[in-house]
Amino acid sequence: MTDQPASVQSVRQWLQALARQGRPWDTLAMLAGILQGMAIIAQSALLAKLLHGLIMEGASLQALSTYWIALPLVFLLRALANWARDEAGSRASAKIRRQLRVRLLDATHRNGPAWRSAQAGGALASTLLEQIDALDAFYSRYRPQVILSGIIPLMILVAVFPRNWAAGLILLLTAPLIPLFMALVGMGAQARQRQQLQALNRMSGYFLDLVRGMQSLRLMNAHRRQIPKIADLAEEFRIRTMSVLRLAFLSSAVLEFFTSLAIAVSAVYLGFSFLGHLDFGHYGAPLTLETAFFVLLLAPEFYWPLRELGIHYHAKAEAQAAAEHLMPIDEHIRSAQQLGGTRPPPAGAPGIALRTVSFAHVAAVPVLRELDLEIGRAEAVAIVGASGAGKTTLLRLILGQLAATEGEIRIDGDPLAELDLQAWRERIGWMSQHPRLMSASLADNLRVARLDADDVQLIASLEFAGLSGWFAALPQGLDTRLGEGGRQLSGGQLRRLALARVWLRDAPLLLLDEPTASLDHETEAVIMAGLAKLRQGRTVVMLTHRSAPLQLVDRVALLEGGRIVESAADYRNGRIGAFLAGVSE
Amino acid sequence: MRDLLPFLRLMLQQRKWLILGMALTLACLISGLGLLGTSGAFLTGTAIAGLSVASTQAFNFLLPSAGVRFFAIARTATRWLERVVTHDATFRLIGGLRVWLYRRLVRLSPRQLGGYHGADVLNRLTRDIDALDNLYLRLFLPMLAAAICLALLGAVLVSQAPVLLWPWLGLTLLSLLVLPWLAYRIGRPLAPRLVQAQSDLRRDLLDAVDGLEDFSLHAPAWAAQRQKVLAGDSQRIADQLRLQRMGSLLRALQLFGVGLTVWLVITLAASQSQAMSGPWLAALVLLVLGSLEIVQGLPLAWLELPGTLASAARLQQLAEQTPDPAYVEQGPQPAGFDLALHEVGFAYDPLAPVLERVSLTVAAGEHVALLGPSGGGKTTLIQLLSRLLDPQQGEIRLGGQPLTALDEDTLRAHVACAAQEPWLFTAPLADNLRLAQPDASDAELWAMLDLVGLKDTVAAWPDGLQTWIEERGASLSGGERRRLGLARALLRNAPVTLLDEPTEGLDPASEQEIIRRIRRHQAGRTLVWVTHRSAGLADFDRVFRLENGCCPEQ
Repeated sequence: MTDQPASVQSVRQWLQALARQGRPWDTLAMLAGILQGMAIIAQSALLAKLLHGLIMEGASLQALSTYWIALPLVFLLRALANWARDEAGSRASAKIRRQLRVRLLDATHRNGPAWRSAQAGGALASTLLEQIDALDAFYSRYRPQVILSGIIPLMILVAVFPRNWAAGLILLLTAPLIPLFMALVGMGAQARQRQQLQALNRMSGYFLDLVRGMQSLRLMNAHRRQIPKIADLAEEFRIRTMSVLRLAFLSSAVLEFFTSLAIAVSAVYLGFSFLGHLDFGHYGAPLTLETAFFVLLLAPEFYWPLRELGIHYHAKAEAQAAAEHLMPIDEHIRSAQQLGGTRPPPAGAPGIALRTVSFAHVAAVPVLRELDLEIGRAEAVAIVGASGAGKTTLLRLILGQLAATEGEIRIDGDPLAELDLQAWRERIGWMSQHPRLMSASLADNLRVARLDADDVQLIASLEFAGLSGWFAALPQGLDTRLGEGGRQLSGGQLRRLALARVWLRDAPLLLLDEPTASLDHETEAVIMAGLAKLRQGRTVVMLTHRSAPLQLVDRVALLEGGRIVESAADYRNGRIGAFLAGVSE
Repeated sequence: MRDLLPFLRLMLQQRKWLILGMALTLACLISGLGLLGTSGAFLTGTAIAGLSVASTQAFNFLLPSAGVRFFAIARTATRWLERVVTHDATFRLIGGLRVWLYRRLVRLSPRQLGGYHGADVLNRLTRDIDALDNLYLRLFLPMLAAAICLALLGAVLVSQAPVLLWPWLGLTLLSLLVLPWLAYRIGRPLAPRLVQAQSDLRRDLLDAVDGLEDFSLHAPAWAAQRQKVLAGDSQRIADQLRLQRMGSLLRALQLFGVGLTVWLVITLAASQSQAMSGPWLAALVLLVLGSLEIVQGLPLAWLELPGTLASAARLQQLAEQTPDPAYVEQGPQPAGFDLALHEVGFAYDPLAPVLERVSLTVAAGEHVALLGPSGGGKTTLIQLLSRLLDPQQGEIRLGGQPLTALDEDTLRAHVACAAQEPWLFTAPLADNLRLAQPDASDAELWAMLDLVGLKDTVAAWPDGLQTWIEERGASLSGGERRRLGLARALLRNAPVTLLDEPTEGLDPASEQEIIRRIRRHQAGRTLVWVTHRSAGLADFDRVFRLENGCCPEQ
């Protein structure tokens, strides 16, 4: 990725902005959490009343029947509130993730193939799948919990203070520490998370590296030598990670310590008050067992939301890491495809004029410099040049997938930038050097070129490309699954499929990228014959560095140093001839 | 469950640590319960004693308040120790699991491992291993700890009032049997569906993203593909949501179950003809309430279990394949280095054989070139010669011995091979080269880099031979990667060397130079050079043309 790594600030803003799409479920999750807090307080109050009545007053359950009946109902309320909170959180997250996937998929399409090819390997699809999923726990669990770990302790304080200010004070004195604890939990958990993830990723990465490179290892007879190395590496990871984890786990121990302390100090304070050793905290009326129990039951609950937060903390680190992968797709505008204008593209085989066109991916390294090239209507022009000379860039400029840094491209006299570019692209037939097979049916693989083609047309296209023999042997015909999990095609068959696609497109402009590179003679002959038929009445731009396909074109242009240095019908002499002689067949 | 057996055996190897982790987890849970129970009993005791002056003075507060402090400290300390030890144990398991798996995978051929193209297989492999990593920490440990804690809780409850056996039994059955069973039943049909949906979505996304060249030219086709992706995604998210909903419902049931048990304990204790002592009643209520911490994670763990079992089954399936080709343990030594192919045939797809009745011989020390178009079966032939595949018809012999009779050490010592796409490992360059020859000196490595024309390139890198290769050589050009693969094959110093398109991506002049150097280096040893370009092959002893599965000599 060429983009700068996103700053922490902007990652946070991006995640925050995304959270808004979870409405109204995120609000509901918070309300359910507050209800949960109220149920906890009510449950403690009822238990305290019942225990006080039974123990201190020797009352029967009949006498306490109101509380006795209310207690299971409150338990039920708490369970339901718990469930509602989870459900609302999950729905918020589902909504956010679904919308984000739509948005990023559309962004990928908008950014276009030129941007796509600058992305690393097959990682983009993985990013759209796994990194979006990695946001789940952050929106479904972590975010609601953050708010609750502020609200629920406050609710508990409000409930305890009117009963006994000293007990409230015990909780309150630790309350200002709560933000501190949150930071502590955060820091500890973050360090732990980072270390653990890093160690695991490196371990998995190393393992996967070995498995994927097994063929190479095997050919060097080095595959069995790796066994002790894996064991050593695992041991090293364990020791290094544990030395960090030992410190990081102190944060959960500290939280545990305060929870225990709150219980122990409350118990001791209350107990000694009963014995008369302490006499403060109450508002005149003597301390009752009911109040004491109420306080004791709520003391652990005071810290419970924070502990829960610690459990979900990894979700935050995960989401931030994911956001760094996702944001560049979302925000990428710079080298996105040209948007174009509204003017409809001309009918018929177009003429293309490039006037002093320059292009640079990076400002200092221009690929094309003030290039001039004129292609007449229904003319076939081949562009030859060394690899890296900018041939593909030239095609992308004509496709409107890249915008010229300087100069102008005109189609039948109209500036390309003013055309409706989607309509323009619909008029182009493209044959890639590496056609891609989709993991879908044969029919789908052909309809990529023209969605509304009927079966008769599809079969005709296969015949045109010399695939009818192969097609006749397919038991499932057009429904045959190709690609991953289906039938594989040889390189030659794939190129014929690409030819069938071009035939189906029936477009007035053909862009051909090395149409016959590394093919066997038979396939090469089929492709050449097909292209010879197709070029009639169409404008053709062909990239190649071989001489064989040049018999198809009217004119050959040599691209060198970012310019067309020679353009002639005769490709056997001059600089073009010299260039082609240097390229081995 | 049978799929877990090998993994359970792995766990047994670490039993010392696992048991220690379990003991500490128990100690931590019990301290928590003890703190609550003692505090409750202490409060109640003091409240009752506080009713009269005499009993106040007689009340021994030293023991219970010491208990409160003890449990508070024990809870904090054991929490930390438990975290440290259980994670340490998990890391030990993670290492053991990978060694076990690698030992099994190393026997399999690249084709059985899904080759380079089975990215989905490998992605799943990673997720499957991750799923098993958590088996101890997320299922075994909490389940066993819960069982023991519940047993102790039961003993305490029944010792105070036998009738409390019933609510205890209810809670135990609910937590250890009913909810786990329910969770497992709910998770079982959903887990494979989610895996399938994930894999379908990955496939459709790959088509959409990698097919962008085509889709960007045809808006209706893009709209159709986009719709396909989004429909799959919606269905998958709906299934995920259902799984999460079931999880939180089960958790809510568990929560309510504990609450109901508290309520029953109060009810039954209060209805006793002989009233229970106040402190004990308070302690029992708090103990049962506190047991929530012990059981609340169980339903989710069981909900995940079907997915984990499916992961275990997939790993087993991958790992327990019969190696194909399989090598003999100890084979004969070949009586020479000549290669002979007799009527060799191979097909991935019976409809489209790649090689048919290929017969050719290469004498020891001969340099031959195999020329053919891409897709003509050259790479398959190389894989047959290096026995990454076995021919379906015919036979290949080396020095008179069938390849299938040789043990792997012997075969690899005799036949070196540079694949078309050599894999570069995330390690220093020198380590990558020394995979071929562990005891090669730096000077030898430099000499080899010189031979393949990379000496100046590598010398210009600040770290030279120690340059770290990232992500299978992403920072190197295709030609550089290939030539490093070439260097590794030549470092093997084998009597027979197979090279698959070693000069692809080089300009004609450097190609000629490298061909000359390699031929000089291999003088007197067999060289099989595979290419689709005919240039520069004139000097080879013989050139074969491989097309449509047959192999005439030129």
